Amino acid sequence: MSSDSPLINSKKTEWIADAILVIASALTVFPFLWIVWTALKPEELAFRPGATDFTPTLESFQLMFGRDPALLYLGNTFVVAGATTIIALVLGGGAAYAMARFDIGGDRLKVAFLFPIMVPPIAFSLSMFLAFDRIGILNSRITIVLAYMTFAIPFAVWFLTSFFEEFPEELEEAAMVDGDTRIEALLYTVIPNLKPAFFATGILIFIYSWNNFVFPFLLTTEGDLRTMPVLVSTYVTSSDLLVSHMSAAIIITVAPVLILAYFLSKYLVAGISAESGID
Amino acid sequence: MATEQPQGRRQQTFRWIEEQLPVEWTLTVPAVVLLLAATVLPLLALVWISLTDLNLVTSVNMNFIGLENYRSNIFQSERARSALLTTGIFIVSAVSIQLVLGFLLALLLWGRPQRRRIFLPILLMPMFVTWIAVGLMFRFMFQSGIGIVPHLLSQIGINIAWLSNPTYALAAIIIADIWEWTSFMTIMLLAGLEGLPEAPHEAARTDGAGRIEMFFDVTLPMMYPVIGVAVFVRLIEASKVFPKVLAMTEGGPGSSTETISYIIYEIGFRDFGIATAASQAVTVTLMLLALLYVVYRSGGMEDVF
Amino acid sequence: MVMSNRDRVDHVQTDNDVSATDRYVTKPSRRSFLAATGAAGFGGLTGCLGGGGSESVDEITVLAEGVADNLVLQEMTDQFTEEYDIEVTFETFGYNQVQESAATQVASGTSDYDVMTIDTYWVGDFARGEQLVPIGDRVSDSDMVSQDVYIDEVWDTVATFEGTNYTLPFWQWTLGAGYRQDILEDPEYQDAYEEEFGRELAPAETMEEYVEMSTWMTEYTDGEVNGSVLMGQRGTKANDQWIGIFQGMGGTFIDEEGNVRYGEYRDEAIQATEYFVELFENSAPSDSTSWGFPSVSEHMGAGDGFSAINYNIFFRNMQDTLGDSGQIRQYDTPGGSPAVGSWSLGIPSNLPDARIEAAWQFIEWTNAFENRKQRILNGGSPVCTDTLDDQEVIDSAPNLWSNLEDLVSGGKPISKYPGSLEANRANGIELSAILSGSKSIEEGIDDGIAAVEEAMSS
Repeated sequence: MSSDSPLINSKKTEWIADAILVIASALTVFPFLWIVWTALKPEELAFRPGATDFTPTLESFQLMFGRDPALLYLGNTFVVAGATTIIALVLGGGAAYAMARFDIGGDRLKVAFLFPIMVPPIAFSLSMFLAFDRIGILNSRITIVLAYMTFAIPFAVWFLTSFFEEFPEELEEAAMVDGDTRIEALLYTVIPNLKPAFFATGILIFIYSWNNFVFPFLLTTEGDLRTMPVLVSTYVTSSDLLVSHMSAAIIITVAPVLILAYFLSKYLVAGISAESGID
Repeated sequence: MATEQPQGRRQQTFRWIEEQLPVEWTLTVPAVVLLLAATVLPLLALVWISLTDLNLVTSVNMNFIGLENYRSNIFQSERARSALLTTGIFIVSAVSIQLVLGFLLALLLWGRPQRRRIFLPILLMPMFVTWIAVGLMFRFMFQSGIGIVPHLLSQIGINIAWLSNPTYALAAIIIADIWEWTSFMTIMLLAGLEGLPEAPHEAARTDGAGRIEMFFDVTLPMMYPVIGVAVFVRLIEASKVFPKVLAMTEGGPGSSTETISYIIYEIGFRDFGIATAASQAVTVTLMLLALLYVVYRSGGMEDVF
Repeated sequence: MVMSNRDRVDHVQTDNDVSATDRYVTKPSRRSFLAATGAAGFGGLTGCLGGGGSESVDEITVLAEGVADNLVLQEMTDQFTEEYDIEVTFETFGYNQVQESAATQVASGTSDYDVMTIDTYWVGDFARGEQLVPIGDRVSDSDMVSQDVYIDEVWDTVATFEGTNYTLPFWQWTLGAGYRQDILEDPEYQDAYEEEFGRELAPAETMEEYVEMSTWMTEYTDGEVNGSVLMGQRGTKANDQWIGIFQGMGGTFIDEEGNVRYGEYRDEAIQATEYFVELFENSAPSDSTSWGFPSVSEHMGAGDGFSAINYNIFFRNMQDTLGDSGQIRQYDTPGGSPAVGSWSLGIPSNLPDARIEAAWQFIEWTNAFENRKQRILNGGSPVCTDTLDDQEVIDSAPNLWSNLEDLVSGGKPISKYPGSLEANRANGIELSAILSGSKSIEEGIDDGIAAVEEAMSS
């Protein structure tokens, strides 16, 4: 409806606009392609950017799996991200609902939930490191999940509050008139209708947790507990870069997330389209 | 939709809970408690540590030394000052360029659903890549000898040793950040643009305003809140930049790409000076909190939420 | 809470638990020391980590960097297990993480590692914090190891602190000067050089000679062969590269009583840095300002370098890569005061007695003559006079080991006093700033002096 874009007013500018978009997409995609390209090279050629004459090989993946139990790390990453997402959605969702419906704490509580995001993770890591070591939970997946709460809960609250606020309260009231308690109303009436919202928020938190580097890097010393991002960081050794290993590892770390992100972005795009045209 | 009648047991549990405590508390408290445990406790510990001389190897039994750390490590320390400056340069350059590019892309996608469907999913991809991987990818691409960028540039006669040069190294990190986050700006601004009410535009059009005029006089002002939020979020995130620095330059060459998070890491975790690093971390946190407070006071919270 | 059970996922046995014979042998390729961390990281996960204070310990874990002797030793651990019935697991990481892990483990409740490789710089820090087990008595009681066999400088560098013996030297990494012997003997080069300078083409004795020779070599070969291949990487690497020059002029950071003396040698430092900068500007490869030893080894191994002042163990790798196209021989460094450094093996003090015992047994075994010799033959680096006198050892790498003892004896240990790591790193960062042009030499040195003084005086 509002194609009021000041930039596009004729067939010609439409072409230019499309061209720019194509260029932007190409630039966006280029690093990914470059990594895939490199991953398919035999190891010696990975360092030679100009090398084009080679038969594609999966040597880089073999190298990567041979050096470290990447599947274990992949599993760790998944478990930790999954746990974080579920905890954040459940607890954060509850808090978000309460804040949306009961206006508990008001603005100040909203700010309070936002505050952890203002703190650089490194600041948390310093003291968490010492504290968790003293308590004895330093090398454990629980530690990482706990550390992830510093952003997962704020995210969950931040996003879900606005969704809850938009959801008409009448439906819950109808359910409660029918005999449900507030919690039941929440569980059986509101949430089923907000599945897309929860889904999107969940994916976002999952991705953010999957990608997180600082906490697992600093809070685990035991090799077994590494996550994929930490593994990727180990490929920088004394000024050298294990290029082949790194390319393979980046591919398997990033691929699952990109798939999830693809679905998420479809949702986002749909959400935007739905909004346009509304006054 | 009819609500299913839950099992008797569950129903009883919920009712029991709701009778005991106000429901808003049961819903909120767990999240708050967990968040407190994860954030406030470590932060309090951090402040405590910053008031001692804890060093992981030399003074494991800490001695209280008050504000000594703050005096010598923030304002007197040249390294800390230059890290703050570097961080500042980084976030201003990166975020402003992202804003401009993001706005451009958003304008190109505004009101064009087919293009959106095609291009957005592609453009959004970089946002979701783990930051350490972004750092390594770009390091790989920019490093002399093995990188594709110097290789291509040298074909046209430009020879820059990106990561060995203080200015270009920082530029490379900024480029990596732009690649990663411009799409965030794009989607925020696009959502904002699509959500703009039609009425003022109609009015301006009937008044005979040209497209460019309309943009600056009507569209842009209405976008200020969205721009504000997007910039605010990006500034906060950018100020924490650490994985990219670690991956690409480790703060080098010299100290030219050391950001504040990076030196906290190096001092705290590599040089064992936990208390020093803690004092710096607390200072940075206070600075960011001050920013948050300013935004809160100016009513920006509405827009964030 | 909802998630309690999901959190308790235990160690996941994966398809990657390949048998121990599927290994990367330390190939003499330019990636050997890096690629072979595969073996290491792997071994670290096929075993469980050491148990607590049980009566007899049957598993120990060793923390090490994934290079050189550490990998060689790892290959040999099966023999140890056979004799002592104790499983050995290596956890290898890059240097920085080894250092971080070591520091955090000794400071924690109970260390995860039983044996730690400890680098020169850290000894003082750990010793002063009483985080290492003194082993003096065990050493004198032992019939497999003894203090006498070690080269004095190496022993001083790393084994003791304030009179107490905490570690046994493991492998030394003294920076020697490696030259392309074939180029030195090539008449074409000899004649051209003599014409230019009126003196023989030979390993330089003074820094001035070295700079002249290196610059000339790069020019003469139109940049094909760099006269000097150096490490400029910010931090300890740049500092290691520079400190031999500084010491060659009489400079030192700290004296034997532990007093910081860097400031008194400011002039020497500036002069040394001038040479340093000149070498990078006129002779070394253009991106070497960010190089560590892997890139240097690669460059030399590809035949693109004439000389390198580097950790002597890597000359062997360079030679292997070079193969028949050239010969690398180690000589004394210009200025005659090479920086002596060494890794050592130590035991964290926060361990129960049973584990300390097991750890000691491993350290003792590692340093018995036969095993030391075997390590060297397999690619390791000598630290003792007895192995260096052994004919087999000398024959295995005559270009390296025949003059090693002289080299090391004439050298000067890199400081091990508390704060050394921070000091060396800080000065190295200043050097990197100087190399990249962000600071002038005077500025950088002054800042370096200030940083070193701060780091080492507490």
